[in-house]
This record gives sequence, C-alpha cells and structure tokens, in this order.
Amino acid sequence: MRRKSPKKMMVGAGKQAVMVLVSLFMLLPLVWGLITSFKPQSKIFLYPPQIFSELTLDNYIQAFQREGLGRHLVSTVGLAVTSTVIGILFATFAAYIFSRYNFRGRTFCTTFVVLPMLIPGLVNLIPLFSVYSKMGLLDNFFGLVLLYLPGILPFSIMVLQNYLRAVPFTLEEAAMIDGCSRWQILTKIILPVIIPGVIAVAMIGFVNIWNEFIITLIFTSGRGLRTVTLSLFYMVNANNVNYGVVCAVAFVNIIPVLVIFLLFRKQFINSMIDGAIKG
Amino acid sequence: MFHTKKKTRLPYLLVAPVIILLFLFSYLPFPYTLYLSVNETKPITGELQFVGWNNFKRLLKNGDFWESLGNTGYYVIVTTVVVIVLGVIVALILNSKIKGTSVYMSILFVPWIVSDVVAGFCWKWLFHPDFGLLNAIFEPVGIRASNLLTKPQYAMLCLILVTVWKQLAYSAILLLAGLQNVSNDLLEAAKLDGCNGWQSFWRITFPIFSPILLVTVLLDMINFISQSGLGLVLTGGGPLRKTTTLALYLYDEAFDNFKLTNASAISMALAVLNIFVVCIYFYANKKSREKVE
Repeated sequence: MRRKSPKKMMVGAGKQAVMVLVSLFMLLPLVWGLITSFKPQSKIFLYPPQIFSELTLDNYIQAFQREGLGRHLVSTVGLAVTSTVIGILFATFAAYIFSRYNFRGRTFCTTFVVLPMLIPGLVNLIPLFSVYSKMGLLDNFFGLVLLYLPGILPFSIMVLQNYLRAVPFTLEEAAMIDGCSRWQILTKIILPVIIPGVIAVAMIGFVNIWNEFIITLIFTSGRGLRTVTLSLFYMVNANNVNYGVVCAVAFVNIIPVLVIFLLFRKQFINSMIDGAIKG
Repeated sequence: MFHTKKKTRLPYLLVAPVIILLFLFSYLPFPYTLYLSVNETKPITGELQFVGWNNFKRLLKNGDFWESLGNTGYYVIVTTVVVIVLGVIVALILNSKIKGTSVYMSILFVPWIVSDVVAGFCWKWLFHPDFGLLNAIFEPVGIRASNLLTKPQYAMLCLILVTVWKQLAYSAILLLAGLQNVSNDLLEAAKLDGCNGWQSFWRITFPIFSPILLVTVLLDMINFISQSGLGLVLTGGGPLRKTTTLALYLYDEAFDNFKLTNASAISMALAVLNIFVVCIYFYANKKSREKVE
C-alpha cells in the first residue's frame, strides 16, 4: 500500500475538521431542542443549563392532552395528503403532455408554468385574502388546498419533465410499431421510468405543505382548522412560552419530515437540483 | 413527439387544470394588487376609492419604507455572500470524496427540511436571555451571546446567522452539482501537463463551474428577498424595526394592520426587486444549460 504524504494527511484532517464543525453548527439548535423536550419543567429554567438531567415524557403528554396536538396532526396530514395527491396528478399530466405532444400553444403553456416565479407569493396573498374573506372561504379545507397548489405545481412539472426527457421517444415509436397501444406505452414504458420522479416530487410537495405556515396563518382564524406548524407558531408567540411543551411539539413536527427525507434522500436532493438548475 | 394533426382535445384537457389553477392563483391576483395600490379604503363603508399615486407618494416619504428597503438590501447581500462562501468551501470538500460524505450531506440537510417555525424557535431558545445555551457556551470567552437577539445593532446579524444555517445545504448542493460538471479526465490531463492545484482550479474548474455559481447566487437572492417566515418567528421585525425587511413590512401592513391598499403599494416595490433578479436568473440559467450541453 502506498503511504500518503504527511501534507496530504494534514489536508485530509483539515477537511474532516471543517465538516465536523459545520455538522455541529447544523445540529446544535435542534439537538438542544430535543434535549429540552424531554426535561421536566423544573430543570428547563436553570442557569447554567444542564445537558443531562432526568428524562420525562410529560411535555409530550401535555402537548397531546392540552394543546390538541392529535387533532392538529390529523388536519395537517389531511391537508398535506390531499394537496400533494391533487398536485402531483395534475403535474404529471402536464409534464407528460409538455414533453410528448406537439400541440398549438405548447410554448405558451410551458412559459406560463415558469413565469409565476416573477411575483413573490406574499404579494399575491393580499388580493386572495380580500377575495377569500368576502367569499367566506377562510378556515376552509379546500380553500387552503387551492392556495397550496400553485406552490408545488411549477416545480413538480419541471422536475417530471426532466425525468421524461430521459425516456427516448424512439423507444415509444418502436413500441408503437410493435403494436402497443398508447395506454400500454404509458403504463409499460413511461410510468416505470418516472415513478422515482413522481415519488420525489410528491415527497417534496408533502414536506413543503407540512412545513408551511404563512398561508395557513393568514387564511385561518386560529379557532377552527389548524396545522401542527401553525399551532407551533401560535405557541412560540404566546405571552408565556412553555419551552418544554413547545420543544415537544416541534419534534413531533420534525419527525415525519425527517423520516421522509432520510428514506428518499437521493431522489430528494436530485430533484431539488433538477428544479433549480436544469428545469 | 406526438403531433396532433387530428383534432384531439386530449392535450388541452390534461393541461387545463394546471393552467386554470395558475391563472386564478398566480396570475389574476397581481393586477388586482396593482389596482388596490392606486385605491384607498374608505373608513366606514370599506369601499374602494381611486386615489392615483397617493399611496406611492406617501410611501416614498415614509421613513419605515426606506428603512425596510435598506434592511432588505443588507439582509439579502450579506446572507448571500456568507452562504455562497461557506457553500463553496463545503462543496469543494464534499467533491474531494472524503470519508463520511453521505453522513455530512444528510446532516447538512436537516436544517433545510425543518419548518421555518421550528428553526426560528430552536434558535430563539438558544438565544434565550436568561437560560440560553449560547450564554453558557460563550460566557467563558466573555460574550453575552444571548443578548444579541434583543440588541438593535446585532439582531440582524442573528437573523442572517439563522438564515445561513437553514439555507447552506441548498446552495452547497447546487454548487456541488456544478463542480461535478468538471470531468476528472480533464483535471488528470492538466496534472500530466504540469498544472498545480491552484492553476487547475482557476483555469479549468472555475470557468466550467462559474455559470452554476451565478445561478446559485441568484436563486439564493430570490429566496432571501421574499423570506418572511424566519424573521416572523425569530424577531418579528424587532428590535426597533432593525430586522423588518420589505417582506415583513408588507406582511405587517397587510395582515396585522389590514391596510391592504397600503400593503399593495409596498408589494409593488418587492415585486419590482424580485422581477429584476428573477429575469437575470432566467437568462443565466439558460446560458448555463447551453454551456453544459
């Protein structure tokens, strides 16, 4: 085996040191929150803070019993799943048509999908809020779903188009000559290739809606429909912040997102790159 | 490509839902915002009254507006510079295929996937004036770290720190993708020809990598221009409006004070800023793709 030169080893150690520092910086706030969520009330407000203390599930129990975390989880899952399913279905149709059909108005349509990026979402929310409140659509489940969709459609379409580009059209032509129907082409050739892409954009869409709170904050009254992220926002802004319970809710809020990310890490990251620089 | 010579409605039918949704929720609102910005709401009846440029004139005389514009500039520029510098360092290290790359990559992404509320809250707890962990960490060095969030001169720096923490993964991963466009054969050839590390970086890697670098800078700027969630949770725009960016000012006017017409005028400034950077992004993105192909 060839020995590495001392200089190379130093550089290698330096790189590792930088990455360890960066990782500590990335994890510190969240790990500290996680530790706090398991501390009994009496140990949270101590200075200097204790890293190790007795563990308790009190904060989590309180989050479910007093803060209605269970109810909020149900509505968050409902909103996120509904919006993601509808969004991905529409996005897949559009991406397929854009990459396979040459129809009048195709360029217009593909541009139409990208241009909304010009206007910050917050700007559009002003008139939408005015219309929604006049129509009595605040606190409305499907009203919210409709507001989430524009946030996930363009990105999903761009990423899916990229996946579809990977299927050469000649493959489809060959299948057609062999007597495959369009439906067979769709299910036998196209779907297997784009399924990873569909899963990736679905997961990214789900995570985005799960984490969203500004639209939900503006378009709900706080009394009815509430997501976990929004209830967390209300708790953080309350007069008396109960740090233990808020940390517990924060961790319940993170877990699904973290699990999804760790399971689909590769597709997640690749789709993100596709959406940003390849589109 | 399928050509639709026959009159088939299929493509139109399948594309229609997306087009209709985007039309209603992304296109139609903007002209209405524009319309609101030249109107005023009458106090009692709530009717709209045309007032021409009045909202804009008032805005230009308003110190709060200029301050928030300045804050936006400061926030966007400093955050972008820090994120890009750190992002390039991280991307270069990850590109050299060190041990543990996939673990580092996962850790890097954890802040990026959590909600702005969780991110803002966890940092707020670290910065807690009395019981914050940062106090305990930095006290030996003589810094009262936890006061930083409530001090007007440091609050913006804290917001920038948290934004960098949250967005670093996004920039680093795009920059890494840019670095991976540089083929190893090319670098090997340069080495054989006697190039040293610096020379091959500046002469070979950088020219291939720079279009992606530009695109990443622009995407970061676009993100930061309308960033409002983190600020809303971490500082709420305070202390003394020092962290009130244009996006937060707009949010306050529209959804806390319910002055929709005034907020519409502010949102025009935000929109112009955003349109300007997004147009450069569209152009740069097109160029960078042409270069790769």
